[in-house]
This record gives sequence, C-alpha cells and structure tokens, in this order.
Amino acid sequence: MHRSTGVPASAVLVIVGSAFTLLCAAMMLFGSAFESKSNPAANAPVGLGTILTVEAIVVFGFGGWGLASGIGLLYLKQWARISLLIYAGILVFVSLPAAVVLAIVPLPHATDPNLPPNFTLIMRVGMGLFYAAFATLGGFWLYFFNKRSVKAQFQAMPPAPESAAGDFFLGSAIPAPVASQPARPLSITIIGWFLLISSAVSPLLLLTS
Amino acid sequence: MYLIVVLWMAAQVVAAAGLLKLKRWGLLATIGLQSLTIVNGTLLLSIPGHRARFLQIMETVMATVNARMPQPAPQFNLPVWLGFAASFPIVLLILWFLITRKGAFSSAA
Repeated sequence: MHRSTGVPASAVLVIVGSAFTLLCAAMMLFGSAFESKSNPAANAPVGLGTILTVEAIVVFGFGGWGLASGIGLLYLKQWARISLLIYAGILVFVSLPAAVVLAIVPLPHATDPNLPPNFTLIMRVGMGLFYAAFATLGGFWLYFFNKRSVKAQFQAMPPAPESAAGDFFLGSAIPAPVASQPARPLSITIIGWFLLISSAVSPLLLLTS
Repeated sequence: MYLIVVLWMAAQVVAAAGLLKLKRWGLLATIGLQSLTIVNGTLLLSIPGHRARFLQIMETVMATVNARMPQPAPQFNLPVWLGFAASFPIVLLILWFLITRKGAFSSAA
C-alpha cells in the first residue's frame, strides 16, 4: 500500500514537539529546585515551587504521551492515530478560542519607554498568529487522519517482526473486537476522555486558588 | 462553592465513565450535565445580579492569586460574555455528537 508522506512528517513533528515539551518540563523542575531556596511570596500556603513541580509532572505526561504517539505513528499503529486525533481536538479547542480572545481582548499598555509605541499591537498579532497556527495544525490533523486513504494505511497492519524484548511498538496487533461488542465512536471516546481529564484537573486548580 | 464544584466534577467523572462504557445512563447523564452548563451560563449572563456576583468572585480569585505572587499579574478587562462565548460552541458540539451517536449506546444500566 502507498504510504503517504503526511504520516511520517506528522510523526516527526510530533516527536520534535514532544521532545521540546519534555525539555520545558525538565526546565520547570530545574526552576522549582531554585525557587524553593529563595524567599517565598508572603502568605503563600502553597509555594511557587510546588505549583511548578505539579505543572512539570503534567507537562511530562503530555510530552510522554506525544512521544509515544509519534513513535506509534511511524509504525502505523491504530492507537497512535486515535491518540493524535484526540490531541488535535484538544489543540483546536484550546488554540482557537485563545486566538479569538487575543484578537479582541483589550491588552494592558506597555509602560516601559524603551519599548516601541506599537509593542502591544505587535504582541497581539504575534500571539494571535501563534495560536492560529496551532489551531490550523490541529484542524489539518483532524482532517488528514480521518481521510479514507490514511485510515486504510493504519488498518493494514504489517507483519510483526520478531522481538525478543517484547517491544511495545513492534508487538503484535490488538485483535479486532468481537462482533457482538458495540464499537465506540471516536467522537464519544474523545468527549469521554476530555470530560474525565478536565474533571480530574479541576480539583488541582481549586487547591492552588 | 468548593463543595458544588467538587460534586459537579464527581458527577461528570461518573457520567464520562458511563459514556466510555457505552452505557445509556452515561449518555443521558452527560447530556443532562452539558444542558445544565448551558442553563447556568445563560442565567449568569442574563441576570444582572448574577453577573455582578460572578465579577466579584473573579476579582476575589485574582486578588488571592496576586497575593501569592512576587509581582501581581497584569489586569485583563475580560468581558463576562467572552468566556461563555468560547465555551458555548464546545458544549453545543459535544451535545451534537452525543445526540447523533446515541445509536452506539446499549440500553443496559
């Protein structure tokens, strides 16, 4: 079967982005180690170091998820395609409203005289384009990985090579579900996990507010 | 207020678990919770007293956060409707998918 270049290109993009995310998480951990030694803000029941550590763990999780998905895409694993579709949905849900908000919300004026007079406008356009680019990428992935030809590449499983170490990515394909089991639509999977994750994160926000 | 949020999140977790297991009660519970979100947002926007109360809560939250920071965060004058304008399409999209995919759900409780 013809293998489209979009799949490995997306995989590389995901792997590079995930590596950068993991690097950011490591820097956050590094920063939290320094913050804990400095003077904490007054009346702070939770230190900035603790918040940074919790955020770093969450970012590590996202980075690990992305890295696994990118490698899975290279091996044309079906779970990796679904994983990327979920990630693309989150990307659109987060980036599109952010781009719209940045376009219309009144930003505070820069007070530093060394900054150019149109600094706020530059920031607005730059940040708006930044989020719009991510929203476009998410939208493209949602379209591309739902194309019939791309889906077919993931359904035609290549024979699993011998792997004495029991490689997770090269392992044998998951058997197809029994016909009597109802198939869960992808949209329901995405909604279910979105609600579960957002519900799990909310108590953490309550603890820090 | 914290209790209401925790109860809401617990209900959402249970509903989402039912949704992922393709249970009909999970579908109905999620549709109910998402509908309540729309009702809550509409009431908050349409009743002036509620809107003022919401702004007061947001100012209190910002003051609490700023008290813990070495420097206060810059103030953004976000209109109340903006947050809801961003979240309403998401809720409507979720409801649309839930209603159009209801055939995938079993009747078993």
